[in-house]
Amino acid sequence: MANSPSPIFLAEKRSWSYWFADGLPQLLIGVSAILFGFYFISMTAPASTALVVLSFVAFGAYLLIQIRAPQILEWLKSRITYPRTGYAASPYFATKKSVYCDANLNLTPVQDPNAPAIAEIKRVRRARNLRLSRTYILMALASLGLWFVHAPWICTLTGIVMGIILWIGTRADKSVSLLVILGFPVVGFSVGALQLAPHVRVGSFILGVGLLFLLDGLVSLLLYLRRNPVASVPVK
Amino acid sequence: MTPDLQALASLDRVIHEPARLMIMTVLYAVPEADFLYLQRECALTQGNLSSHLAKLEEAAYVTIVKTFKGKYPLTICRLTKNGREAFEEYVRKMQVVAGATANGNGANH
Repeated sequence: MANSPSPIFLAEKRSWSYWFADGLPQLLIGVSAILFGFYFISMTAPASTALVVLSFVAFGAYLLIQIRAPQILEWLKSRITYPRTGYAASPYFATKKSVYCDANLNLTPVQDPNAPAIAEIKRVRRARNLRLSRTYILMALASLGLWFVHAPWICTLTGIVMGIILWIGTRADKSVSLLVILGFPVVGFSVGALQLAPHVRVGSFILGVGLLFLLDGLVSLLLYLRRNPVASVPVK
Repeated sequence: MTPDLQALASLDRVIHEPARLMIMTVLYAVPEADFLYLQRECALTQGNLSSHLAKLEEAAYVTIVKTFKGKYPLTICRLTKNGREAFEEYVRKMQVVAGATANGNGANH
């Protein structure tokens, strides 16, 4: 009993997993990576006016998603997720003001940061943020091989290394599915097999990863919709 | 009474009820949640959850805001500052009791 996780920890962990259960964040990551990958490839391909215009449109859409991701997700979730399984603010955006509640509700300033419950929540969030930051940095470092090593096998190796880093970084809260983790080496192998020019293969790799997240998001969303038909209107 | 037992006697009865303790725990971990999410997380019926939320609201531990998103009504619940403090105090007292039990302080006859 002494080592069993506390209910506060479990509630926090469940609310984190809940954020990904509907597949919408993965879909958004996927679309965003596809747009960036497309922009990357089209910028290095022989230019035609239409392609240049299209690549800038893609880049604009990518930037818009990056800047407005929380609002886009809230908009999607308010139509798909909240009517089915309810609304819970993401712990990821825990420090930001709520979309629904105004600021006059006398909320949440922490009185005693040494209180055990606060310390636990803080520890969990700090550990998660640290783990995710470490994962992003390591993945960025792993991708450097695509730039500097001009051999087809580097794509497969990068895919394998990135898949392992992603698995290690997210296995604690399972926010990334096995489909994505195992898909990284497949994307790497596919890009390597296409024998692309070095500057094109980076964009292709990003595009492939985007497709992977898009597929994962679609599968998760379909499963979620199947498991959770629209709930009856809650009565209070 | 020993100090440990006194800690038990001074537990907040509003929070100590299991269903309300579940609600408080979820709302402590999540910045805010709606009625449906709480109902699913705590596995309570609508009526049960309503009555427990009303008690928590009466004790000024929870604020309830009713809003709409499209045609769908959202009943959003959050812990108040009082609620957070009360919950932290409750957890602290329970840990004192649990710590004393684990250390065998209460086992001496």
